[in-house]
Amino acid sequence: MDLTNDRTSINFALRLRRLLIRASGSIFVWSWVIFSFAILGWIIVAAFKRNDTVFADLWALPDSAEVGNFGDAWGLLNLTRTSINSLLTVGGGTLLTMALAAPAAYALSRVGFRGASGLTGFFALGIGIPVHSIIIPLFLGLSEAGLSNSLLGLTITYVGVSIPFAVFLMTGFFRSLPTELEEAATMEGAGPVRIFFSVMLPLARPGMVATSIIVAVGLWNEFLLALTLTFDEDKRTIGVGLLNTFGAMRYTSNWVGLFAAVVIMLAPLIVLYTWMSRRIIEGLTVGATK
Amino acid sequence: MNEIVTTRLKPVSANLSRHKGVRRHAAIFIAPALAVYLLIVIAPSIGTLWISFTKWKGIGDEAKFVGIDNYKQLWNNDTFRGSFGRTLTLLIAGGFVVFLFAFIFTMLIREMRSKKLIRAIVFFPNVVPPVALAIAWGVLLAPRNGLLNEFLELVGLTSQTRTWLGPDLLFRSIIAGLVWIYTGFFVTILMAGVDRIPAYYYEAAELEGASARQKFTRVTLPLTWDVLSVAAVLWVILAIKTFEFIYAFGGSGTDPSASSWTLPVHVYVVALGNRSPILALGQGSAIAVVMVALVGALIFLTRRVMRRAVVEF
Amino acid sequence: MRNNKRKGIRGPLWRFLAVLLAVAMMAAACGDDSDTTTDPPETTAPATDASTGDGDTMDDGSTPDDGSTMDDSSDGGTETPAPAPEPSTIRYFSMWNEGEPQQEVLQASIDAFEADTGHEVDVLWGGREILTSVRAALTAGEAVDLVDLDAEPLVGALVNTGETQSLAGILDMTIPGEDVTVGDVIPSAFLDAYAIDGEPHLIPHSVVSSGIHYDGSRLAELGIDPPGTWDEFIAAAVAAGENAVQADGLIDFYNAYWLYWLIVRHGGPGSFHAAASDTTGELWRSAPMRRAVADLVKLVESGALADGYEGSSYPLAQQAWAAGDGTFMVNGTWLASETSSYASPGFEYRLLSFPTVDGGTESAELYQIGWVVPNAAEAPEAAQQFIAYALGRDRLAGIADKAKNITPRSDIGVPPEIQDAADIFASEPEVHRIYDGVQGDLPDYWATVFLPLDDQLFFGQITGDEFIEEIASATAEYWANQ
Repeated sequence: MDLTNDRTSINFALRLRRLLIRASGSIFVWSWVIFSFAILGWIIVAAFKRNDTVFADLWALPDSAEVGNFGDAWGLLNLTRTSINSLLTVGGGTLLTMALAAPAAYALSRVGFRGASGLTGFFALGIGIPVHSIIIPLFLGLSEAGLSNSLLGLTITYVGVSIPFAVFLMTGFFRSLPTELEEAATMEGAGPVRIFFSVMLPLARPGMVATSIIVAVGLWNEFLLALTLTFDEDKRTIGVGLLNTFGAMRYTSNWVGLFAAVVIMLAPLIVLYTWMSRRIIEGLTVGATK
Repeated sequence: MNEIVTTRLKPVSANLSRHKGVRRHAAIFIAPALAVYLLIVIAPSIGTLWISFTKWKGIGDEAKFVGIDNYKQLWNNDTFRGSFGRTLTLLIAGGFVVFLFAFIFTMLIREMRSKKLIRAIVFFPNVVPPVALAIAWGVLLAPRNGLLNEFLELVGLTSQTRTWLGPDLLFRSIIAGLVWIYTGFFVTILMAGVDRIPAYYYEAAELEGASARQKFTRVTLPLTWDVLSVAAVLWVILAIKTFEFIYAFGGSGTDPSASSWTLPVHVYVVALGNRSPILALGQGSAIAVVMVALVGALIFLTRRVMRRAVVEF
Repeated sequence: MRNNKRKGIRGPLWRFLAVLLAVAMMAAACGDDSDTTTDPPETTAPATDASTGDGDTMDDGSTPDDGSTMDDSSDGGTETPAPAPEPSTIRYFSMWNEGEPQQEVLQASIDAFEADTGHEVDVLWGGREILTSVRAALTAGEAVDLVDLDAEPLVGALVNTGETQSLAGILDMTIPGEDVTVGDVIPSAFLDAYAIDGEPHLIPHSVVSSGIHYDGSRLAELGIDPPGTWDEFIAAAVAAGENAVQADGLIDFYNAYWLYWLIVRHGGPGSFHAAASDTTGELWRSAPMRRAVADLVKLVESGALADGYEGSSYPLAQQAWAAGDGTFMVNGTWLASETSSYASPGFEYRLLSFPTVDGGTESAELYQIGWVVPNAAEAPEAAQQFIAYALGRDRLAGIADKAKNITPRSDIGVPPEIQDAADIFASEPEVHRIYDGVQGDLPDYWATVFLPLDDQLFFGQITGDEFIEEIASATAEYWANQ
């Protein structure tokens, strides 16, 4: 008789516990989200503050928006010059990376041949090699080839260091694609080259977009290679520009200008990210899960 | 990580591989990427290996072959041992926390409505220049007027305020920063694995009265095992390679103190460092080689440990 | 749907990818044509024959494959050998970032120099990482005519390794627009500091020192006299109340000021350098070292150091100090110009010569920022000419007026903020290098042996005796490993 009653009370306790867990989980998740937002927000707000208040009252909102900080930062970043260089090297490097990595990844993942797995591993090995540990021999080699202090040399270097990760991600993509179309095309007598360009490439487009964005974002933020491999005023990239700005602001105590420079550099990333984040993330995950 | 996948999917297109001249075509497809990769990454790596057997100060200095002296000296070098230890601490302790958080996150937001938004936000630090993050993190943890200590005082936890960047806590604060950055990365990857699990597995488990923990250990964990093994390998690489954040954070723009060096920072300061150049290229290269060897060994180990029958579904 | 897409991608994309592939393979395979992406139409011809030899080499100033030789390639075919010395391009690598006052001052000199002499100055404002670029350019065999940096890193990276040339010739050069020579206006004490075999390799444009900074009006308010000895200093610091001594503890080489100064005071100039260079490490156990360490421990234990100094990230402590939170701060003479943008109203910048100790010696820290001319220079005469030019009274005055530094010329005034430092130079005959030269000559020892232990001592993590034991054995171990 009391059985039902008992069960509901158990159910109730269970449900309450579950509710509590879910609530505390939500709190955890949302405080993490808010925290991440706050850090980003703090940088952006600081970019509008004044030097004498930015560190004195960390929490305070600025009493006036110092838009002039952005003018300072713009000039110091030498943005007209550095952004062109960055577009050339990052854009060119990303395109070339994709042009080389996509066919390689396709062949490694879909054209079964002996040694494919080993070769894939060999490419993946490159992800684990830190750039600055190879920078000196790399520089010597480039200067031997007449490619030091040149944007082309930097671009090719960007391609070389991006290929491992791009191949790694793209092999994942190609593996995840259905095989039927490919088989049908083979029946029709199409060779691998044609199958790649007319069947696989269109199918792999989302993956290519995601991979190229991941590669481009990484290169956009890069400064070590650019700093070491080029040394002309007019060959600086935006990453090196940020480093120089960091220096200038630090030694002249113009911290708000530094934050403004960071915001300027972040702006295209934020736009790109809000627009494409789903694709970036999905691209990343297909590469990792397949 | 790729073996697991390849064995599962086996010859994707067996008929294709019998196609005449397939190997030749594969070669054409792979050769350009391979050539650039060999020239830009592998050849210099061999160069680094060679330099590690010399004493060399760079330009204007004759490199002197010293065999494995540089490696022997590392063995006795306290600074190196410190860097090595910190790298392992980051790898193991940091890895534990990152994966713990990433799992909690994944489980929690699996059923949340705004999960895509949340995922996008927690991933975002991964696209911000690390230098900017390092500056912000420094402001957050400053001893006086730092955002965290001020916040603790605000909510009445004055006793919990600490000198977060003091010698005792500095490296832990660095790890905390990296955990914050990378958790989003691994949430993203783990979630992709979890998303592939058909919902009826969970429904069935629920019908049988499984608790949240049981659902995790009986459903989630086994079915995401392959994703997890990829994630573990990626973590090994990330943890050992991480450089910019530690460099910028530890020294606010100059070489950080040796007490917060990890292996990549050590390599940088010794071989390239900007202010008072040490220019011990042989030693720096030896550390770099140790580092790559460590990555290789740990990847091998991780795969061994994680190797297990993949659950098909 | 899919069919359409497929068609769309086949045509143009295929061709595009093919072109990219071709370019990449070409570049990777032979890699001679260095400028294709930046400037496709022009460069193809001259780039290749540069390596084969003397097609267009002039006596000096022509670099094989770079943008700076635009003059050469533009008048292409005409093989007229250039009339002797005439205009050359000076490749100048500078430590300043665009926007720093020193950069503005030097840029003004460069502009005037170009207009007056016809030489061209191709400058890289590379910031403090400039040595990375210098080394890269030298490695690539490119011209580096002039480098501008603070002395210790320069000495460690270029001068000590024999990469620079003697600048003795500059001393006899007349400064344009004046009737004095460089040798007349630069005191020999400055030139001797980094001389090799009696010949100067570095010509300074700025002179820097360090000491204990304080706000003169604040000290007067507190009724404290500027201390002269170390014990007086500690007493003054204790009397000055909360956070009396500020420090950004995360910068280890700022922390090192204390112990290095105390060692130099107790053991005299060169004693720190000698202890660091002692292969047995035993010199660290000597009496002056122990006294210096004991004095530092006194400061640490006095409680005068600001709360959380061991975890203060730059520039929070110096900002707090300038805003009126705290009284003393040890730092270089640049502190005044670095903090002026947030100094509290009425802040009176004063500098205390580092306190003296009983039975010790007195000397002043002399630190210089200046130029060197590497052996790899291709326009060394023009580079020397520029140095003499930039040392002109009106041009160099900007270093004092705008950059708030002391100049090496005594006929240029001193900014009031650092008058004290100038007075110290005027009164004390003996000088020593910053960090007694340990940072510059023994950078590895400095970074991996001294600084970590010094931090532990300064943060109160180890006792004075422990410090002595550890550094003595670490020093011996360090040298055994070399």
